Amino acid sequence: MAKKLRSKKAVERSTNAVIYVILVVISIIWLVPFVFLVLQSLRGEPGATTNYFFPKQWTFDNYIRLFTNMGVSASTGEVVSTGSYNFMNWYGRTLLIAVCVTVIQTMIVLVTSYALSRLRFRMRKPLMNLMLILGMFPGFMSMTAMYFLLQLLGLTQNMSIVGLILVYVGSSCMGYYICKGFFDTIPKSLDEAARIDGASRHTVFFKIILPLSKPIIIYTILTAFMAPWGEYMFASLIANGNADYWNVAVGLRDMVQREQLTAYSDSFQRFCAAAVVVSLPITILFFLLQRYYVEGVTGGSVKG
Amino acid sequence: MKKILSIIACGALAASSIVGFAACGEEEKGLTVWAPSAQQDSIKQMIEQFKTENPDIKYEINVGVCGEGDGYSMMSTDPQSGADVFAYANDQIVNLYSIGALSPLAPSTVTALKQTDNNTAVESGKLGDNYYGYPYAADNGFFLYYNKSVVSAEDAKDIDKILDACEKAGKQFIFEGGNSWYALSLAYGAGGKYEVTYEGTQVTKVETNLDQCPSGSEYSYGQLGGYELAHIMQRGAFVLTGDDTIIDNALTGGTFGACIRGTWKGDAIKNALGDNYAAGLLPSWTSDLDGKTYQWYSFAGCKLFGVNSYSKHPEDAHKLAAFLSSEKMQEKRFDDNGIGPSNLKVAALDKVQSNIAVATMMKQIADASVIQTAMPSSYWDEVGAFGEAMKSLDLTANPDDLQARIVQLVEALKANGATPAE
Amino acid sequence: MINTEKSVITEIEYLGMSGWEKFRYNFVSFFKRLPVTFLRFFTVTIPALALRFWRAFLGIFRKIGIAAKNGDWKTRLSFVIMGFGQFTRGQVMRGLFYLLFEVLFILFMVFFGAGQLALFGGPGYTETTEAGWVIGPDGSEIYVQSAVGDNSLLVLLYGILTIFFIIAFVYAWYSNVKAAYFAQEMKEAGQRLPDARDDLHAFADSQYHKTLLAIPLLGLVIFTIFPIVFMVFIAFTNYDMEHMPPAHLFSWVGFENFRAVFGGSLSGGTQFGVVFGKILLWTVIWAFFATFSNYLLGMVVAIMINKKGIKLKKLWRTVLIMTVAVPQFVSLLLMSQMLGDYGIVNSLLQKWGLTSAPIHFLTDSMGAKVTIIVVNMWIGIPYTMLMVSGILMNIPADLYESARIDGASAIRQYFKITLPYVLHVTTPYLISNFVGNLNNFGVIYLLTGGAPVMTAVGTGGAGETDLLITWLYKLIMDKKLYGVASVISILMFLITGIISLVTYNRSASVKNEEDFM
Repeated sequence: MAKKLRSKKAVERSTNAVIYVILVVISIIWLVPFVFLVLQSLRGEPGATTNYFFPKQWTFDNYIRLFTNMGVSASTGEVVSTGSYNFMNWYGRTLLIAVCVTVIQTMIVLVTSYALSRLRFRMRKPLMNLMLILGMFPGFMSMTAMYFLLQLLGLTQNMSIVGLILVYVGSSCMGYYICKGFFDTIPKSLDEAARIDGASRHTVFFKIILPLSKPIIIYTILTAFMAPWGEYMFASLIANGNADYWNVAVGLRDMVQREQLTAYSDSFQRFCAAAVVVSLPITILFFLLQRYYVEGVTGGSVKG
Repeated sequence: MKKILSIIACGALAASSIVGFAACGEEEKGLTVWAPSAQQDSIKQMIEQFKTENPDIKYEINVGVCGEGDGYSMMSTDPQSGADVFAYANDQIVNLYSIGALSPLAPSTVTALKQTDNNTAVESGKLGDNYYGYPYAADNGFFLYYNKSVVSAEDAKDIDKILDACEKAGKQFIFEGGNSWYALSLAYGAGGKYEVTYEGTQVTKVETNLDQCPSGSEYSYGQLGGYELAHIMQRGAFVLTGDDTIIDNALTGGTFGACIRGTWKGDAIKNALGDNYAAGLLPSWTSDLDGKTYQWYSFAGCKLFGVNSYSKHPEDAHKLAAFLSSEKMQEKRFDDNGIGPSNLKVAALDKVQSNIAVATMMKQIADASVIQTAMPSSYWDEVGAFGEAMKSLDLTANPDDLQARIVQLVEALKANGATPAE
Repeated sequence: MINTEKSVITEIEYLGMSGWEKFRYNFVSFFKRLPVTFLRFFTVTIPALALRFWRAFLGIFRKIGIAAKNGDWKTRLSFVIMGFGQFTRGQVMRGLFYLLFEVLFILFMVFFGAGQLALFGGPGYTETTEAGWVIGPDGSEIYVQSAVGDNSLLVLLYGILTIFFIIAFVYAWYSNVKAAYFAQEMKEAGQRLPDARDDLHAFADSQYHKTLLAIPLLGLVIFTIFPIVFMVFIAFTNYDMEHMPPAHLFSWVGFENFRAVFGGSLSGGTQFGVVFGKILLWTVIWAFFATFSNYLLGMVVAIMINKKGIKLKKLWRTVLIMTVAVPQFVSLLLMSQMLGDYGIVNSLLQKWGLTSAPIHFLTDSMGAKVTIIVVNMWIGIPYTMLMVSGILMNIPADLYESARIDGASAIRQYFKITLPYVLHVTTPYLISNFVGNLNNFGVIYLLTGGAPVMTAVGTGGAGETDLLITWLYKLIMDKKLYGVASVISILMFLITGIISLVTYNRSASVKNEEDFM
């Protein structure tokens, strides 16, 4: 009996060892692009790409130049001012957009999900179906319409922050699905008890449902916050070529235009540095809030 | 009653005109210029100069980012909010014109430009009876760069010798063969032709002889060019890429033998190769099909400044575009960015002539090139598909198969002119 | 034939099935039902909807008729002056709102809407004139600016905007008439009318859904429905490269674009049908592999991480999740550069002597397809891993306990308990993921841009790895075929929309919404 137990333990141990090996391999595969990004951002030698992995000279200059709006000229190889290519400006604009989008979108999603999950009214089902499928209409088909709509309201170019926020949050109620699923799992008996005590639906929402919804609120915040950083198409259309009105994504895309990537320029290295700067806060957020994210997405999207 | 009204009206008119005049003196004229991102610094300095040369008018000039090839896509959604002055490559002229983004040049300006600038460049801005651009660069084409320590100047005149030399030395020959910009360059060198006729913005006729044979040969232009392209692309030293950074890597890694590119890559190759840096016209090639020797041709394109016809200050925009493409500015642009001028005086300067890349490009355009007119987008689609097919062409297969593909290509190219008969 | 008696099972039978059977049943019946559902959608659902709308429509007229017949002068005056009925019966706030809306609407129509509607049909446009130079009397050259005429795009856009306003107004007017008559009836019956405070209270309780949904739905109408309606209208115009307003106005062409799509006669001799079919096939193959590769491998990774005795769980998860933090366009751009024919992966492979010639990760049709699916795993597995992690924690421990007592091995436990459970609860996620992948724009656009291009004649620049959605993007951005692209969008919308509706409404989470927990 004891022998059998020991052999079972041995099997267990060897299985775990295999799993550890696999996990390490997977982690390496998943980290390679990320590490490559960081390494490139610390590369001292000029030129767009290298055919070796580790830099030969290590430097923080790319980050320093990025934040001081300097860059190595693509044509002469001298360090010059990048003029209106102001990374801090793009970063600030995008951060502002992301924060506003997060606040508004989270409110809209929560409110919509609560209404669809807990309130019963005519047209509820058709509305849910409609919201579900509307998002499947190819988005860039409507860019032209949206552009002129914002222009009518004077929200392009110098007002593009407001315009972009509106466009990003405009349809956010369509993302109700996971959040509503989460609300569905909160026992109805809680509401009913409160209703019997004379609480209005408004009170139920704020006093009972929301305090129980921390995971899904954090999940919604995380997803809302990440989206604006990578949006490129509409942001570039609405800026009309003016680099002052770009967001991070448009600016980064321009850094890797063919004519920027010459043998002398540090454009690619600054691009990598910028990408690291952009992804750092999100990585930290994810590391800290991972538990809630998992609970939120599991509670919301998974039911028999 | 009527009299009183008219007096009031007159007074109001006078008052408003006074106010108007006063405002005119003070008013800032806002203009926007779009230029490629690599030329931003240079263009801003030019604009400062423009302002100092026109001190009596207060200009507020913004500079936006837009590559010469992106003008149409940036403009097309909303040309009325587009730049007043913008740089564009001449093959976009029909598209830009069709969205009303181009304002014609004054006839006297055109006459003057013809005196000072390369006439091919001036003509490349012509559509119908009007001219729609101030040329500033006549360097949109490709030619041969090579490493003298690998390829001798004599060998550089023949593609097979170049490839042999590269293979022997274990070096690379870099060329984006299958791309639609390059794919028919060999066929054009053999004498192939493609001509498109527009009426306004409508394609009315497409003529091409790619499926016909040059005199004394039993193979068509397309067949000869396509076969040779495939032959080159399947050689051991051949590196197929459109990514310029691969050239940089080959240079730093010491594997650079030769490449076919435009002027934009000149500085990088020169700095890396030093004394071994050389450039030459596209080499000649001897077809394995008919054993005859043909020249290799480049496209010849120009870059121009266009003035948006929706500009609120068109006269000023024309003045600015003329300034940005003037002799002095073309010289500055050459100094700052190494861009090959269209202005004859600048082109004749010693420093320009001694810039190997720019000088070779000009010679290539003058001696062995076909003008890249405004091709309909189906041209790029069809030729791109053809180039892609050539990558994997079976060189031992019956040449008739290739001819069948050429006939299809020609039909597809000609079909474009036939459809708008609705 | 498809929906035979055999495939219909009772609720009890369904509940009696093991997890595996449930999953298989759901999966198979979903695909079996698809064609039938499509047919039903057009033969049953749409007519039923139409009938419902027609009845509602008739009901509206009946109610208006009754109000007109039985209403007193106050109610009848509300027909013209909105809010009058409420106003004179003590519901001041309500009356004011109605009146305000009417005034706003009239102002809007007078200053904006009427003009846009008048032009809506198309004929009567003022064309934009071309700029040019004329020779003045003194021989000098004078610039004649182009006079910008009507812009058919803006007329269409503003016209639809106006129609939206009119619909809103008609609805408000109807509710005003209804409410005025209702107030009259209440008064006649001697009942107290709700005042402003009652209204406010209702908006926090019985009418709370209106309060909550007002802003979300307003956003939906403006930023989603309005552009979609606009694009549907575009499908009936010749908006293309040769008709770009304001220089060249587009106009109505009826069903011309539909004919072009189905008849296969696009300009430039593009073999439309062939290209469409080829791209559709690859789109479906892609969606299948992208969904299941992510799903199965993500689950395996999650199980490994969550296995008892494995330490540093949080670290493993975070490592995978870092891919989410880097903006997708950055990571995919890096990937495409690393995987190029002469990129770092190939140079290293050659340096280590593993290969002699570059592997065509992205430049060969087959290679690119495989690469895309593999790279997509890199993106997608972390998401699945996170979700499955959550589920694994939820599997009742007693299931494993009893299995262990029965002496089931770990592998047996996995196949008997874990896998069926996870598969069963994530079926909706799986199918919605499939639909999402059909429209997955980012990965293809950023990684290959559709390359390599098809080598056949008349493929119009379509690429071997293009999905319908990236092809659509090319049709719009490169070729400006707005009209045709709108038609294809509508088709894609119908297909994916119906699939998802069927999926969601059949999924247990929707069916059993009420009795969950």
